[in-house]
Amino acid sequence: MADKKIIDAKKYSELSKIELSTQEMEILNEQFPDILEYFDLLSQADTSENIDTQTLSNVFRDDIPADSIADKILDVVPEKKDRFVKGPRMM
Amino acid sequence: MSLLSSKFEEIKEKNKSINAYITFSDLLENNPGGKLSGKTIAIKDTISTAGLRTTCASKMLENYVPPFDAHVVSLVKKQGATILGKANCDEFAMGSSTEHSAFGATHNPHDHERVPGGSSGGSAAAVAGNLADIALGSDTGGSIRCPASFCGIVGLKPTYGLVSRYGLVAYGNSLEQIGPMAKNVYDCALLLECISDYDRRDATCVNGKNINYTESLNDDISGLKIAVPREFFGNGTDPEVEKSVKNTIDKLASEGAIVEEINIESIKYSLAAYYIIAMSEASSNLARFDGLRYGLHSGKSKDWNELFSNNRKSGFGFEVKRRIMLGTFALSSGYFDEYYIKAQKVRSLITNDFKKIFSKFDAIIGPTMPTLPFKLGEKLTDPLSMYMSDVDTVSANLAGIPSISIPCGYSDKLPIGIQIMSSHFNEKTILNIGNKIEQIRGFDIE
Amino acid sequence: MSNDYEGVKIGLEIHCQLTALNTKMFCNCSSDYRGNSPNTLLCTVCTGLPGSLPVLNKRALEAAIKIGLALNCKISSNSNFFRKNYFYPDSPKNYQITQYDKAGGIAIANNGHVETNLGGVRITRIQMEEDPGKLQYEGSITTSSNTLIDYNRAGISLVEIVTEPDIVSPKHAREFLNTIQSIVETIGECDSKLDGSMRADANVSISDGRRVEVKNITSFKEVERALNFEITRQKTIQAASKMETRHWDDVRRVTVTLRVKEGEEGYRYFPDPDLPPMVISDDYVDELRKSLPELPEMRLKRFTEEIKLSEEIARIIIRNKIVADYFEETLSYDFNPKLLSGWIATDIMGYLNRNNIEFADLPIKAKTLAFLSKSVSDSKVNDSTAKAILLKSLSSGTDIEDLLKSELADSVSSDDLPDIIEKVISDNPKALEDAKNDPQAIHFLIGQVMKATRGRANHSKVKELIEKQLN
Repeated sequence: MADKKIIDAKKYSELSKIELSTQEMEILNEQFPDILEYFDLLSQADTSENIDTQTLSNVFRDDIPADSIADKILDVVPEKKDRFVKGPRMM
Repeated sequence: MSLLSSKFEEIKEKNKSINAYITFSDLLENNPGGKLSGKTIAIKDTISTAGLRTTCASKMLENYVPPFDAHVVSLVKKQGATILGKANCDEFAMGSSTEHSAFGATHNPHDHERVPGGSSGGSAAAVAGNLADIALGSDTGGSIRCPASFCGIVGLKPTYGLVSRYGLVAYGNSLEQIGPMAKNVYDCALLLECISDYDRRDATCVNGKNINYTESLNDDISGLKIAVPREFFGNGTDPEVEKSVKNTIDKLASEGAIVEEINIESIKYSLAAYYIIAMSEASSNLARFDGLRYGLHSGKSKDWNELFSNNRKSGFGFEVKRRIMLGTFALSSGYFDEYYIKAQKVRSLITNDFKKIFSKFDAIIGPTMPTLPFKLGEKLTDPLSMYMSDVDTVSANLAGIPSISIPCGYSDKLPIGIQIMSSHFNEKTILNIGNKIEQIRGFDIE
Repeated sequence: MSNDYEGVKIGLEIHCQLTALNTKMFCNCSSDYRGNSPNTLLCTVCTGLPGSLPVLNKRALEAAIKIGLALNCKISSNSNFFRKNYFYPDSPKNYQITQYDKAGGIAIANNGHVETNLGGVRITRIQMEEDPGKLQYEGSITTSSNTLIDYNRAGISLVEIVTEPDIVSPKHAREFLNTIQSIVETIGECDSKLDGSMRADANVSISDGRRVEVKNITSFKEVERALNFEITRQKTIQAASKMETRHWDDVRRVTVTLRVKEGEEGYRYFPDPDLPPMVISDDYVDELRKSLPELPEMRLKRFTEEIKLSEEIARIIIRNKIVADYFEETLSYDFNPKLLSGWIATDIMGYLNRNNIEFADLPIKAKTLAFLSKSVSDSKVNDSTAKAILLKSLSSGTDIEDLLKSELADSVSSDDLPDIIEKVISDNPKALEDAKNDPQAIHFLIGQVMKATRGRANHSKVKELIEKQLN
């Protein structure tokens, strides 16, 4: 059997912007190879034939403005300043 | 009105031992007129309800109150149903047991030490435990059918595009549908009728395909050609489950259905294809949860990068984190072709295979779940074994075809479900066959 | 000069807002966000609320196809949307709905080209995508302890125009941008006068060096400056050794390294499952092609071939639709293309540019300018006098008609000319003899008459009368 695949948990935690504890990273690093090994089953499938299963296309809407519900949206915003959504510093 | 409110207190009390609900409605609205008038309904907590907390069973949305109703919610309100509350589920619909909830696990009403199935476990337990007449769930890889099977009720996953997803918090958006759950096929069909109205706000919703699903329930099933794939009775299938399902199929044959065993080669790839696609989509769908516009905001941090990472670390449960990471991996350069693209190709293969089958057969039948409801905690340490329980249900999501789970038997008082699938927009056939099974199976649901 | 830009290769990515649309790209919020208080034009979709779904604005597709046609592109018969996944506070979903050109992604248009005064540029592709929200800081981006986010702009329709690295100098880049500007303005899909409606990023490389992306070029005026700086910087370090993204600081006038952003691998592009693909028929494309107004390039052809303007003058005039329309309107009153085009392209445009005035604010109506040119055509005044009147009108704001009236009143009438000519001839007897022998010598006499009348005589009339005297 080929080498078990390793996923660099740290790299993907950075890409998905989820901070992980050391313990969590350890668990994931342990579990991922088995899961990926199972996913590798797909390599056995013969998908050489080009099959198109697309059904729906050209779904549009008209260019007509609707009333804004901005105030309702702002109601659920956790941190605001005046009417701005307040975020942390950039750098 | 007072009858309803005293019943409501009873329900809240009973809920304590089952934990089917996360949030109860403040105000019970009893609109007269409409097809669902007089019926109480539980709504899965991944479906947005205006003014009523919608948590997705996550700390991330613990205090989130949506400013809008999902399309299906406005439809059930219009039809006069009384919304009792929001049903527990696996966090962000990711799971098969409703144990991955930030609000505690739901217990199977048939055996409190067992799981109700997932991810719509709260919806199923509410109906099975008489805490609601009907319920709405969502099904991405079996999340309606699995709990329906484990709780001994009826659950239907509609054809992809029949029911609007507007307002459903997305997990695997090319796979999922909101669907009805009820004690019997008639109520299930009625609820489906009410929620399948076209919605222009969902670009994947197909116009003009919904019909009156209650009309043809009692049609004769003799002459219907039913395919039974051997792959659905694979190694992990509990012999009791197999016996009960095959028994039921025999009964259908004696009612005039023409049954034939077949092979669907590509089914063996369905679980891997499903998880890769679902996790990839999830990793993107859940990126929006950063705490800026709604949801958990954990306080000050050095910069936006740290704030996002912190909020998401605190807000998401471990299963969600695991799936997001795997999905991020499957989409990233170097792996994209091998995983995501390959999975989509396999998906086309499976869809095409189903198309070929339905050119010859009216329905495909097999078990909904390979096992009886397992014990709480039993599969928590091995995620892969949890994923494996979806082996019979995911192919319907990959192909977008409709599928229903009907209670067909018991083993040691634990429910067994039989699954019926048909071609796109052919809910009529699966409801028809389901209805017949209800009549011939030899027992009633309390 | 040409050596300074040797080996320089510039590619541009221009973002054009589709300003003619009433709503955003994927929701029905009004797209008229300029001048609004923050966060007033919002819905579940453009703020990325859980459970929200995008639906494509049909007019956005139409506009994108028209832009593609106007840039001589091939319009795709199938097109789709992809997600570009990255986290940033201005991005409500932390992914952008856009188009891609790999992995099954098909942008709306490909393989176009645009001609400019300084050479042609190939258009690689045109893609549709949504604008993010706007970030504001208390102070500067580095000192602000908070970031203030306004989502009014989030979801506004954009078309991104990507070029091949065919641009060879900053001037060329400027010229190209002006050309694009005039084209999208002519077809009415992007009003570039609106703040932020057209933005550009550049990719710059020297000879074998790596490509450096320069972002945050805030206006087209900044483009030349930013590119010149970056080219000099790269030449100083003798070609960039790594691909990177740099940010143009228009205050300090330097490019600085941005925080490392996701490379293409980090974006994890995949088809957006919420949006069905677009199937675009040839008939639909033809219909849109027919609906296009005369494009600047076609107008240029007409101006040079039919009206016989020089290419240089013609290019100046066609650059802005309003100028070209004005010119053609003057012609409808007095068909004097050489004179009118010269006045417009040189005198009027020159004056407006020096004084930072928009052409739309030019107080001289086309009819009035034509009135002035007609007075030349009718030999009432000569060119130089008319030009002087024009310049005076521009600088003082006095009506041309009034100036012309007083000039004519002032000018030497044909009745007075014979006497003046008599006097000049009698003062210059030898000149008359010379003129009889040498036709060119007549100009000395004409010159003397003009001097005597302080330039207010009609030149051709004077010539006519002197010639009479010779015979």
